[in-house]
Amino acid sequence: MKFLVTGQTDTGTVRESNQDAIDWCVDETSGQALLMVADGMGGYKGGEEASRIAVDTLIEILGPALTDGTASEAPEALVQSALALAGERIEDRKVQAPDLAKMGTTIVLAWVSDSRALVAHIGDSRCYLLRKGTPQCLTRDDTVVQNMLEDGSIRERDVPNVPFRNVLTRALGASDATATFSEVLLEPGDQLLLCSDGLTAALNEGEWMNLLTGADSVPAPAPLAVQALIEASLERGAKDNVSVVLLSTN
Amino acid sequence: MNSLRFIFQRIFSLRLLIVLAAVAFAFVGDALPMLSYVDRMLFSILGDASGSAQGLSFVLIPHDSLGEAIDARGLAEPLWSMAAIRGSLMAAAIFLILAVPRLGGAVALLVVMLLAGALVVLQSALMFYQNAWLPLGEVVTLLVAGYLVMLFWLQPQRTIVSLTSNVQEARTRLSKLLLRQGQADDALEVLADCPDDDQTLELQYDIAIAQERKRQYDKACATFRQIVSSRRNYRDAARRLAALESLASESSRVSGSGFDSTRTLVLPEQSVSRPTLGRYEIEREIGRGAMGVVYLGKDPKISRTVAIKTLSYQAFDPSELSDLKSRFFREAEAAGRLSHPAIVTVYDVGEEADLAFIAMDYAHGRPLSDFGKPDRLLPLNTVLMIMARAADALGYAHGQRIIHRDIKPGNIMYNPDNGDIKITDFGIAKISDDSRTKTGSVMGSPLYMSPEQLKGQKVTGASDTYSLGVTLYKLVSGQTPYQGETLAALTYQILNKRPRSVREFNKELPNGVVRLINKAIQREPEKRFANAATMAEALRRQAARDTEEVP
Repeated sequence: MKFLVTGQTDTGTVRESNQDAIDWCVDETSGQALLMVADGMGGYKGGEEASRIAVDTLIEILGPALTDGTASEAPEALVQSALALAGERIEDRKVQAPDLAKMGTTIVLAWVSDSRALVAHIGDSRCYLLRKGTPQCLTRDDTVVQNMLEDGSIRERDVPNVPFRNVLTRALGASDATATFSEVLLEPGDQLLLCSDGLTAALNEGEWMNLLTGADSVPAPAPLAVQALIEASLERGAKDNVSVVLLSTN
Repeated sequence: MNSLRFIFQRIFSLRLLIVLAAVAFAFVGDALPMLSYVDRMLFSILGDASGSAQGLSFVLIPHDSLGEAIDARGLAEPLWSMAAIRGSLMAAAIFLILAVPRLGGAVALLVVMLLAGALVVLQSALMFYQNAWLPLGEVVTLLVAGYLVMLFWLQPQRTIVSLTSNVQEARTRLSKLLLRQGQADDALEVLADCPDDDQTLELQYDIAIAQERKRQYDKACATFRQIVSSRRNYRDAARRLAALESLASESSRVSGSGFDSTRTLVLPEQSVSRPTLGRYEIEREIGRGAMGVVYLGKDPKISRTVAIKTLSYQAFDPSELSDLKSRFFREAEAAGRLSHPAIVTVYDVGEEADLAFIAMDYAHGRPLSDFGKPDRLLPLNTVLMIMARAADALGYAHGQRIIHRDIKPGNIMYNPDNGDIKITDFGIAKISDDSRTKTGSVMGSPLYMSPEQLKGQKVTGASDTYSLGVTLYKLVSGQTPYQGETLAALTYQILNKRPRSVREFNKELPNGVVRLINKAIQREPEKRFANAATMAEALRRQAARDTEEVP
């Protein structure tokens, strides 16, 4: 299977800094791709730094494994250790600079080798499988609100008013940084979309497919599709930073 | 460069003309027939004996033949004559350009006339008694002509001087005004072109003090430096500058600890003025509240002690600030409308560059959270009376359509000396919690929060009643009805589980109190007390019953 990955991040219409970080790498020879989105938090300075540390560490550790194909037997363990290292680096940085003490970051990453995609996430950045014109969310947000929704305490429309709506139950750099893993088998034509909550807050999932497919229902070229999503969310006045990384298969 | 500019600014002045004229008179005066006019006239009047016989009519000796006439009259020019004339010319020039402007036109005219007369008398005296010829006429000519020229110079000069002093006066007044309005930077800028006289220095000093009080230590440093550079020993400027400089180096060292909501104002040493927030002088820090640091302050005008709660802007994303501020001021305004003996009075709200603050009555006593440990509980009857008063106050506030939203032991001050209570932080406590900053850590605990509040539904007076019920639970048992390690677990319990009975923690609690608590903390708002006043009544009844039971 051949992959095309493209991504974009934007500060949004309100914030002054972009605390999201994105990155990806594709290795044609081994037929593998790695893509990720991190959404930092804890003051604008800390947020920027935490998401950057997370993404850089993951690329540093997982990038070489992608090329030499050494980890294809146990990718989960490798991802786990890379996340642990990123967490440690964030903690170290907090000790060095006390004004970053509240920093942390979400992370969502997809490691695709041939048709197998391993998805890992901590926090509320999401991974969607776009198949036959419908987006399907592969991740479950690690948020208090998600818990409340699931136990039936609140309904979707109450979410904007919940006092702890922004509180994550897990984050890289927080006390609980357990990653959740899932696997999905990709079919030709499937797409994987990673995004920060800036996108979902501004733009309903139902509206995505119109932007992602052209007029003749053929998927638009990936860079244009990503661009279209970002622009549409900015038009809606996206308050948060908006990030999208899209992987397309043929 | 500066000296060049100095020269250019002065070269095209009428005063220079006078100096040049004096030099010309001194060196080429002999060649100009016009200059000897006065001498010749004097000589004609006094020197020619035959002339005097003919009365007032006389013939002016031509310039060329003056020398011969002098010789003929037997007068000799002394050796020092040339030097004396030149010296006098210079003295006259200096008198004209320096003394005339200071004397003013009228006085100068008198002095010039006196001097000219004196010179003529001197010249005549030398002629008669010493047989010496000293041609002072040139000096007299310079004096008179120079005076006329100076009159032309004086007129515009007077206008310039009066305009300049006018501008300076206006600038000083503007600067004072700006300073009084708290715009110290603008005040300083307005003063920039004024000369360093006493008035300017005094004002600069006041500005520096104001900057110091506003905690703009860098700016105050710069201002003091300016003062010290123009006058080294101006008041205690040098000492204050030194103190500020040490403070600056100190604060740059501690700034690593971060500017978040827990950041405190640096309370500086004696040589630096106490910081102010609005018109309040900060005395000391007295605690950390939900929003930020709380200070003990004083209103110097009426010497009233106030508690000042601050909301530090640094803790928030700049994009959220305007929303946050408007909510802060709206809530503070609402709280300001409340006037009840058991509610802390809000006096004032204000804003500084880096924080908003709210000045309120300084409630003596201790927060009820000090009495929430199992081994430090207050007597049951006291607790019931405190709760009854708190419920009264809530009833009053709800009647004004104001919901507290964050009733908990920490927000109720109790004075053990007289039994008074004061509820603090009406409406404002939850503001910073609701900000959109995403965080992994828990901001404030939902321990006392009603289920409907937790679910983001409409908050009513019944929510305060619930929170007061949990507060009562805590004060009689030292525990809360729900416990959870994490926010997520606690939220789940509050929303989905039955509360643990207070009886579990306090076996001796009368049934009435247990029932009262259970009613207050019902999950459904409509199953709780109808309103806070009803709860107050129930609390009082219970308190009375308990007193009867105790023999």
